[in-house]
Amino acid sequence: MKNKGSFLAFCLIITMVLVAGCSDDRATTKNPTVEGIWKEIEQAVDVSDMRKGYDEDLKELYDIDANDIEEYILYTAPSNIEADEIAIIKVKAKDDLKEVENKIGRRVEALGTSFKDYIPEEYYLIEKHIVNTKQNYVLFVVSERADEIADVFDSCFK
Amino acid sequence: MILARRSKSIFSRRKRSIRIANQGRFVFFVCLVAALVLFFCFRTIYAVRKKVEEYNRELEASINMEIGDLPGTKVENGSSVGKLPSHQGQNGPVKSAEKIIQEGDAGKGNEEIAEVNDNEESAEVMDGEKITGVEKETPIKGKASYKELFADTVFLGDSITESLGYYKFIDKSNVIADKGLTVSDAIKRVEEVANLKPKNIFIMFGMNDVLSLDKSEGFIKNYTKLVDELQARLPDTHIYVQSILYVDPKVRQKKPRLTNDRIDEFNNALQSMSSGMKNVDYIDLNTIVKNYNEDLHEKDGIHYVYKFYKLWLNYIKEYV
Repeated sequence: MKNKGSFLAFCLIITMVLVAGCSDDRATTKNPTVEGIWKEIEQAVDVSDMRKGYDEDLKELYDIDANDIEEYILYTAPSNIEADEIAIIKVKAKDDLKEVENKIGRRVEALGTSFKDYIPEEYYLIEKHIVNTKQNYVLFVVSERADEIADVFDSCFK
Repeated sequence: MILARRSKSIFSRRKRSIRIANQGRFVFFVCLVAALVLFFCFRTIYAVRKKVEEYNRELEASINMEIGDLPGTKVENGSSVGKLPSHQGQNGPVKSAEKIIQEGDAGKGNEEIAEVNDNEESAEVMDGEKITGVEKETPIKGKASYKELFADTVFLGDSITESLGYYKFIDKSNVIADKGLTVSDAIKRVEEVANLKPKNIFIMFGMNDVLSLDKSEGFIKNYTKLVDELQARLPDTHIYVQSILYVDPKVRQKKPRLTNDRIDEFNNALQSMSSGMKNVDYIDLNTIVKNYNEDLHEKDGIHYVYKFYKLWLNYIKEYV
């Protein structure tokens, strides 16, 4: 019957649309995943030798409990004599942003104390670190290419 | 009354066929729709598989970075292992390793650790791990075993020692070390060490002292004071004075004071100092460096790469 055929076609179209939506993980949407943002950063800058951080590292370095935030990604320097660090933290509520920014501030101080007077080149990078906030996301970068990474982060929200 | 009418059930009803005006057009559209559906299905499957592969690769990479390989180096055994459980617990006071070592698991870990043949094995191979990738469980157990083996040991030193904690070989609570720390700075940290009540202390200072001092006398004087203070609080603890590690010869171009000859001079003084003290032993770690067939230094020629730390721990495990 004509109606049956139309209905069937309609169902198929809906299925196709739903199925297409699931496969798209690009971060170029207004509500990107931190993983998606990281992928964009990876494509722009060589971060292959950075060490991935986990919950215990987030707690130890930032005093942030992973359960208190929505999601995060954390990468630290390949060795203890380098200061490179990238953290992207998505908070659960906008009210939490300030606290996270404060904790990042303390992390910057700790890094500074560690490297100051010992490895001036790394201390310089720590001094020109970047902290960017977009919606519920906070980016913290210590890197020679901090500006580029910050640009990539910003572009994920356009 | 006889029911004359035939019961109307769907099974008896004659099926009506769908009338198709243009069969060709109908078939075309059916094929088109089917193709589109299949396309999107495969796309999703591909995307999901890609995500899973990436996730596995990431896990592998993080495990291998923690366990054996330098960042960026290729992993010889391509097995996919489960996530490394965190061994960085909140161990405030130092635990005794005796009980742990008696357990079967730790025994296995010791076996893995003991098998490193530094000169023969290639760079990527660690404790017992074969290039064919046979020992899938080894890397996790190996690293956990170092923490267990050295559970009642404190490492006291500068940036070189700090890496032991940074690379998660040893619990950070057992590593009292900071970049730039000299032996005189360390005297202020004696309480911190004493509070952990360790059975063994491995000390490594000197790199920063060789840089800042003309002669070894001042260095030895402070080192003696450090050991005395430690022994005053921990009379039964065994103290190991580790040699200052050699630097790459190129370092002298930028830091003229930092030469291996001067390091030898300071080390000889350390050895003499240790021989005159009770419960104190001198360990020459440069044996590891001298016997290894490749340079173990970082780019700066002073610090050491990840691989070195396994060699170091394997070398000193005999003492604990």
